[in-house]
Amino acid sequence: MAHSLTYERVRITTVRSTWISLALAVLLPMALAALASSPNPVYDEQGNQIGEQIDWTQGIGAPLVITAVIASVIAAQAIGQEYRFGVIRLTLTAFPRRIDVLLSKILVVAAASAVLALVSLASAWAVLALRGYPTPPDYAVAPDAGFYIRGVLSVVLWGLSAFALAGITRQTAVGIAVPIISGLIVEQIVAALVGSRAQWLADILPWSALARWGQTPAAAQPGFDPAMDPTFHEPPVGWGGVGVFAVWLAVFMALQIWSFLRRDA
Amino acid sequence: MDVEAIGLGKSYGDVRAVDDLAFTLRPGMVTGFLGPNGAGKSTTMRLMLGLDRGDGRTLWDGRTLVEQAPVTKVVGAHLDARFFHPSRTARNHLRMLATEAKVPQQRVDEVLTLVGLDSVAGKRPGGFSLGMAQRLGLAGAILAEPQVLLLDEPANGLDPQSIQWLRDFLRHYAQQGNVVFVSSHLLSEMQLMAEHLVVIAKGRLVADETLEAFVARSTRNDVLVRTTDVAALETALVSQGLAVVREGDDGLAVATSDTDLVGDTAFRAGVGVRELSRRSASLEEAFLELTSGDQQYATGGGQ
Repeated sequence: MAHSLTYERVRITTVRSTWISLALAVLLPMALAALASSPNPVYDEQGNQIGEQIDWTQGIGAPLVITAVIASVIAAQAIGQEYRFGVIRLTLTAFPRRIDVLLSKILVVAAASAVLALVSLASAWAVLALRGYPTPPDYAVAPDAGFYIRGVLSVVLWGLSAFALAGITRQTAVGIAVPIISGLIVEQIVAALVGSRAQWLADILPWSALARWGQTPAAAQPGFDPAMDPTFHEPPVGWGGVGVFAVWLAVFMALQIWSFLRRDA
Repeated sequence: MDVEAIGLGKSYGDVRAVDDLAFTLRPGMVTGFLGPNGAGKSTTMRLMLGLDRGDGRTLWDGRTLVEQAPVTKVVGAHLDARFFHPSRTARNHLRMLATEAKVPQQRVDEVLTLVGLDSVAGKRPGGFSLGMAQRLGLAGAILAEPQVLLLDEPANGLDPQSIQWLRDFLRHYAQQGNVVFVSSHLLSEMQLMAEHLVVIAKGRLVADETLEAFVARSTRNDVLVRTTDVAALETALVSQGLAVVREGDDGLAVATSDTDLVGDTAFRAGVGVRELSRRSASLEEAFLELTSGDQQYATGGGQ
């Protein structure tokens, strides 16, 4: 297992795309943070407010969507490119215990995704500091440690889903595209179409559920009274949201493990 | 180390690509692996390595590959010239393969020099020619100095000098007590390189014997005798139970490899002999004869 981990480390660090992805994980979040940040409300010459103050959470958190996409590129390539170029046959000749290879890949993908997320957060943090946000931030309004942990883990989970999908289909493009297209487009359309008729379906859409991890349940918000609106329906948020995604990920991973262990290399 | 393939089998839908194949590879010699296109040679090699799922098993000194460590010290395989990431440099490609057996960096450079790729070690192999790609594949296979080499068509794309180098290298590698199992369509090359043959057709074993024995099975092995009295000698040979075909005005092709028998018969018949020579089939002729009708993908023939 230790040798297959070393093999994976050498594999991932000796291709250009990894370093390009890392550079993008620095530059794109910096650019997004610069565009999205606004330390103070913006007023016109007449004193009318024309721009909202963007808090730390938004300024740092928004770029993580891009980071998740970059992580999915590295994750999908970790398995998809091996099949594309036939390198998987060299890998499995050297390491015939396939489960060791798969576990090593999962660990390296998770670690690489976490590194990308941390780099992204640090880059966005630096931009916000340069833009005039107070440092250290006002912790009354700035994100707590849980925000950063959720951010990093969300990127890791997104990356693992891309890895599993690329592994099941042996296609890098599927691993990259499905989470993006499903999470950002298809699931929104499905949720809008089914509306209240099949609310349960909208509730279990995977990447939307993952995005709700950071949301606070309505019941925990001051002044909320469910009796005021009998039709009120809240999809799984917080741990419920990540729980829904975890079930999806478990299904993807189970299929991926079966495929990797049972099919021809 | 002996390599024992036991009951290897593999189906693709209704097609039985490899069917109950069993053979043993011995150290100290190059074993050639022959078969027409689609005979199942590559599938067999993948089954041996556990890359394809199928029936049977392969034992490497009595144990499966999963039970061996480090595996790259046991077997080195070269299954396809293009099995590399095009943007990972040749040196890094080998560095990656070196991790399982903890092969030192010095050995990576040594192998690159050995296969003649030291000058392009830092280059990305995406632009390599087929011959260079073959050399990189071979470098990966021999990196950890394994006891067994499995090579699928390693001579494809190599120039004549490189083929000669490959032949010498593999013979030398085998003579050091290693198992070398190599498939090739270059039968003339195989004739020079291999001492033992495993021949398959339509997934089934046709021959597992020495090259000499395989060639001897061909009906194209005969004796040519040129004589002063063709008719008399023909009668004498036929009376001995030998099949005879006339060749030219004074020649007979006798279906035997025993020149003494033909010479004695001519002597007893009292006919003069101008030429008496044994003609041996080439590996190519023997292979074509013994696998005729077993081609999976035969051409339609000329018009």
